[in-house]
Amino acid sequence: MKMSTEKEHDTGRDPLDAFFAAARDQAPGLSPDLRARILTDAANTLEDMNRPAQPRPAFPGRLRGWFSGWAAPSLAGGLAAAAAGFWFGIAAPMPVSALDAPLWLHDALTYLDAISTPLVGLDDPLLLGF
Amino acid sequence: MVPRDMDAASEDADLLMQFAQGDRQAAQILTDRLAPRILRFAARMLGDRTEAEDVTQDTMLRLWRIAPDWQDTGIPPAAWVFRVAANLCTDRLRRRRSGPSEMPDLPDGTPGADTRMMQTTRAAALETALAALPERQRQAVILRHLEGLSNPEIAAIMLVGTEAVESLTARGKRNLAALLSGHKERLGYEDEH
Repeated sequence: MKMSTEKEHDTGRDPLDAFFAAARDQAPGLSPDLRARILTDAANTLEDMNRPAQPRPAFPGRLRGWFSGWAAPSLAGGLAAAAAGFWFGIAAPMPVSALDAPLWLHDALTYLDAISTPLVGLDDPLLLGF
Repeated sequence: MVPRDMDAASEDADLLMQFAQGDRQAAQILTDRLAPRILRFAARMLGDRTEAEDVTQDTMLRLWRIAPDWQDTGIPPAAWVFRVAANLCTDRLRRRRSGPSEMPDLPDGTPGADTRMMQTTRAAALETALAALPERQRQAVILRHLEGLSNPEIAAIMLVGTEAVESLTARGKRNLAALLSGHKERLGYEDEH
């Protein structure tokens, strides 16, 4: 250490001790304002910790809450869809033969051929010699 | 309120639990025990009184908030607040992006000045030299030589082993000595030996 001398080694004292002692002597103290701010934080934290949770409303209140929010439109939509399905089932019954899969599947494939042939082209690109 | 035969760490933990149960006086006692130490540490780490006060308030706020779950932390409250304060100081130092790279001008002190003046000058010189140390060395030196913590306590705060603390402290003191050696006449260093 550059500051060490034989005398320092003889006395066993750290050459920085005087500086450390001076710094400890001159240390900043807690101001009343900062102390007050810290204690205000503590009081606020205690209030937050001790604040009771929001009480759960009784059943009629909860029911009112549901119907004043999302529950009423959802329920109305569901009922309307059910009524519509019921009506279609009674008013316009379809014969079972209308659901014959091969017939409509054949029509669908024919239609697909009709619209896809112009897009692909008549010549196979792999046979054009590129 | 606090049994006198409990050691400081147990007293702090006991006070914290009392605070969690709603005891505001426990908060006052804890503030008087811990906040001045955090403020001194932060002021020396940051070199700025206002920022040090913000760090102190923020650290204590975090202590209040963790109080209900304190038993889960596993370290004494004093070590915990030093760890939090050290992290907050590190965040602020990183935001500054550039620290002092060389020894700044030391405060003026004339040889033969009275003892009080010399103490003030030496303290200011040490603070200035501390600011030029690498952050981890500065932390270790402040906690060991200015706050008087033991190496195991510092190891718990800095999340390193005690050998690393010894190494950081030794290197920090070597650097401090080198920084101050050019000013020993002005600082009355040789009067001490």
